[in-house]
Amino acid sequence: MITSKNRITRRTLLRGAGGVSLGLPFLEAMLRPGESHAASTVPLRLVVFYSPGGTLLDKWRPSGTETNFVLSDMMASLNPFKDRLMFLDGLDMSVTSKGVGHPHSRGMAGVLTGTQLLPGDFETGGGGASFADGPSVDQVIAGRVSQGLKFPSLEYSSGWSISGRSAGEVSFAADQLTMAGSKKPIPPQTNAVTAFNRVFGSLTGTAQEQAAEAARTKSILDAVADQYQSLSARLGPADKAKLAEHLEMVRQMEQSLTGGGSNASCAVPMAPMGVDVDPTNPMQGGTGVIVSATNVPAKGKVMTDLLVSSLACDLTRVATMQWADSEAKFILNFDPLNMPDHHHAYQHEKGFQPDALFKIYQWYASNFAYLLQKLDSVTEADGTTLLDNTLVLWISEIQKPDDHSQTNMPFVIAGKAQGKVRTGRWVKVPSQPHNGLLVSLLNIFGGSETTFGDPDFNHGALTGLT
Amino acid sequence: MLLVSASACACTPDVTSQPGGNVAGSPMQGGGTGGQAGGTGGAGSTPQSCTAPSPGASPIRRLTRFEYSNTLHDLLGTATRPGDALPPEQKGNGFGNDAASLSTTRLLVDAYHAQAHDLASKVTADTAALAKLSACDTASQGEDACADQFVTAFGGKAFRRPLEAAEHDALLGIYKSLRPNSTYSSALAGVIEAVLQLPQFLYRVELGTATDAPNLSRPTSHEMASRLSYLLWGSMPDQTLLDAASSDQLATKEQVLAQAQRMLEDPRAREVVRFFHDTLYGINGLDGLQRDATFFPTYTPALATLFRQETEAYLDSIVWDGGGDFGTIFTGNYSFVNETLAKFYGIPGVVGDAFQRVNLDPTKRAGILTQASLLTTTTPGSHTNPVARGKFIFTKLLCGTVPDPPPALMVKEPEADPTRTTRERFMAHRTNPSCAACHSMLDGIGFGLDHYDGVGLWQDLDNGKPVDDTGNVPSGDAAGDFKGAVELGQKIANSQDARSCYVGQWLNFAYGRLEQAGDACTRQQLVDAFKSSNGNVKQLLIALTQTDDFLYRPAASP
Repeated sequence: MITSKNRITRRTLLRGAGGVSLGLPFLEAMLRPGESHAASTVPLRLVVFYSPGGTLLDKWRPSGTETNFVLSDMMASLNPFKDRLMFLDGLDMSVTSKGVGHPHSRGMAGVLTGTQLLPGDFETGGGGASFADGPSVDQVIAGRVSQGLKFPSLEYSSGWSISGRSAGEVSFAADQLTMAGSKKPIPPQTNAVTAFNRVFGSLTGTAQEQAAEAARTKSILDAVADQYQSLSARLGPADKAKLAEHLEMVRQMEQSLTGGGSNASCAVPMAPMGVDVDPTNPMQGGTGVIVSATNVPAKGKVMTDLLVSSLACDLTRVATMQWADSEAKFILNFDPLNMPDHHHAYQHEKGFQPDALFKIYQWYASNFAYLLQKLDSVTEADGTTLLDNTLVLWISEIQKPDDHSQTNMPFVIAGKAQGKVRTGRWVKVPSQPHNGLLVSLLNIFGGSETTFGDPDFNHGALTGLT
Repeated sequence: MLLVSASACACTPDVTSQPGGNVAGSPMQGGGTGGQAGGTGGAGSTPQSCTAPSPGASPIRRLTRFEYSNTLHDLLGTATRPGDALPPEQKGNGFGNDAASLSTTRLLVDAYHAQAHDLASKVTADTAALAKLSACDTASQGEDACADQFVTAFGGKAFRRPLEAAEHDALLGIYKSLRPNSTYSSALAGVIEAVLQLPQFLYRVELGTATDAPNLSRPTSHEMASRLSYLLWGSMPDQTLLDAASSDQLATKEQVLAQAQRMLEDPRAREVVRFFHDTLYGINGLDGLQRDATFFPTYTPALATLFRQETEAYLDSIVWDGGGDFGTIFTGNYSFVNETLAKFYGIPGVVGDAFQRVNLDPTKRAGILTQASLLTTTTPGSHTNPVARGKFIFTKLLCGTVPDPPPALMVKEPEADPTRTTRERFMAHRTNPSCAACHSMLDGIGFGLDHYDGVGLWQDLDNGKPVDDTGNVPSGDAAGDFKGAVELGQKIANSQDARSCYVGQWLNFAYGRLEQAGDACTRQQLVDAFKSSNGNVKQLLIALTQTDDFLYRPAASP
């Protein structure tokens, strides 16, 4: 539970560790026009949790029956949430039989989009690649459920060894999960302080100051938008399209100045400190270089907290948390792992090492449990918890750590999603493309789709989730 | 079994000498400009006519993070690198400046806004910095007159051309709307905040000016000033360029040439060339690299930065200090190290933190192929990987193309084995026919570098057995057997394919796109210029400003 001193009410002024204070106008601003706290219903949210490198399937599987099962030691940290879990055992990521790149990059491209990885100029272990061929399911859902909120979605990554912040860096196909559309990646934020400031940082000062600041920003952005429009009129179609895309985002940002929802469960996390690595310390894509990552556990928790707070404050209803990029080539020399090499090394570079991998997957499971615990600690206006109103999807880009095969993917759903999924189950699914799961997610979030992604792998929605 | 193949890997090694030639379905595939297998560096198929200018597409170009930081430094005096806080670019042509592949996300627009807000507040809080942008005494001239002057001066610098009347009014309008509720300097901050989010600032917009030919226009003099400054400095034009533009002195090839020659003497040109090489060779992310200490006991993460700096100093000396030509990149028996790096390599007699030139054992070290930066960045972990090293050399240095493994292929690297050499571990690539077709191309090059371990140190033994450093380049004019990296460096230095490849990479970087079939004339012009200057990189930069692609643009078709 969130302690009462941390809860925002209409009368409190909260001051976080970073000196951030949130006052009344912020709360008012988070309400949609014409909406009152009492009248708002609790919204449904989507959280995607990604861990790299598949799993040890026999250790991932529970034992027992569909509804009466025991979690394995590797997954034991999830015991408190057993009744709110659904193991989806048997889906294939068939779309990865198409496309370019190596299995990691094909899997990253395909898992949320159901499409293939398109050719391009990124170096991957398996050849030149660009990005997936369509939007990811979370983005389609965000377009549907986050309308009018401060952010359509938020994407974070705590252990991002491939795409950092140095000027020479470029985003990297092998690690791109979320897509606005074909070849339109939405890179995750990798810096916790920047991520915090983006969500909560600008909301400082007194009520009057905040209102004045919002009005000022609005007038500036109005002028900016005008210029995009008038310049665009003088350009050719391709350039026009580029500026139109930019303008749309400026407009969205402008609307977000007054966007938001209910604050009933809103609590602001502490401003993060000391969890970001030196910004001059990233790595170059495609070369598999290892970087320091002793901060990953702390940063992952901070980002999880931030993500949960953003959902609780209804600043967005869709979020993605990546604990690493797909090859995860950062050394695991931190508690509780304390290993001398990186995850991928134990998959096959140093030979398949199941004991080491067991520890690593156990650690990812504990991070998943942390997310669930944080979601469960937020009480909503109607007395339910945020976890009750969320569908959490745990994904990876491959199944088998050593040969990177992508059949029988280890999908886990958690959270009750307002009863739209029937949890507390270990569901054995007949072998079929995972596109059906993506269709089902769209349906759960109000869509009527019968297909999603590559038509070659579409057999309708996955049944049996409810 | 190291690789399990679902279908044969029908491989044909191909050197096209065109960067990006490995992009399936890219426009150049059918363009007829690439060489055939073992080709001639794209030089053998010049199209019928290169007489009439036929410039390639010239889309609006968003400032890269590198350019954004540089520009804010020159515009506002910003000493930090705010571009580093922006989300990474899509790689596209490899340099993150490929206009066609860049999309705009909400994250990026939020980051532009956050930066604009911060930078505007900082600069207006600093009286001296503000006065530098536009010196005006509000007491004697009045605030409104000073604001007007500010908009003209700052707007013109930020837009890299004089403001149009409507633009001036719009910016002054921001000041006027904010001033009643804020201080004078805060109202100016609003103008700056807006400008730093405008397309005229964030993008390089060209409207062009007509020529006698109907489908051809050329950049205006101000647009040419930006073409020059972003190519050669990665930043906005200086006052000299803007003055030249204002008097329309950037209209002819000769005028452009004179400016380019002047600009190359500026230190900013070095930064661009460094950025190009760091990106091309993939060493810009080395900093902070960790390695398993059980395998590399003398290595520490602090060394990675020194690795990068060694290569930068080496290339600087070649390009700028008359140290050599393109070939020297792969052949110099010297390098630049400081005390820490020298100790790591085992080079005696170097004292202090400053990098100094040292001569190296010519049988063991020659050029960047034997420098720790490249050897490390092409090693994916604790074990050297001839596939990764071979692929880097074949595709990045020779522009060779390697087909992708079929998707159904289960790729499995050979397992670590303390009793076998790297060559022995990877030899199954040769014995399994479905793998050999492709891997003979890559591994053959990589095996030649087996004397260098995963952090670039020389090893006589690999897992206790003598290293066999014989190698083979599969195709192109460098094709054939070689022994060790020093010989391989000689091969690359003498390869016209390698030079043509390098030229093409500069073409992509300079023009912010991926080379296309229609670029054949431009490519030929650059290849010829590079040849006649004996591989002088500075002259290649000059040549990049003398092509039809640089001097003209297609007429706009709104």
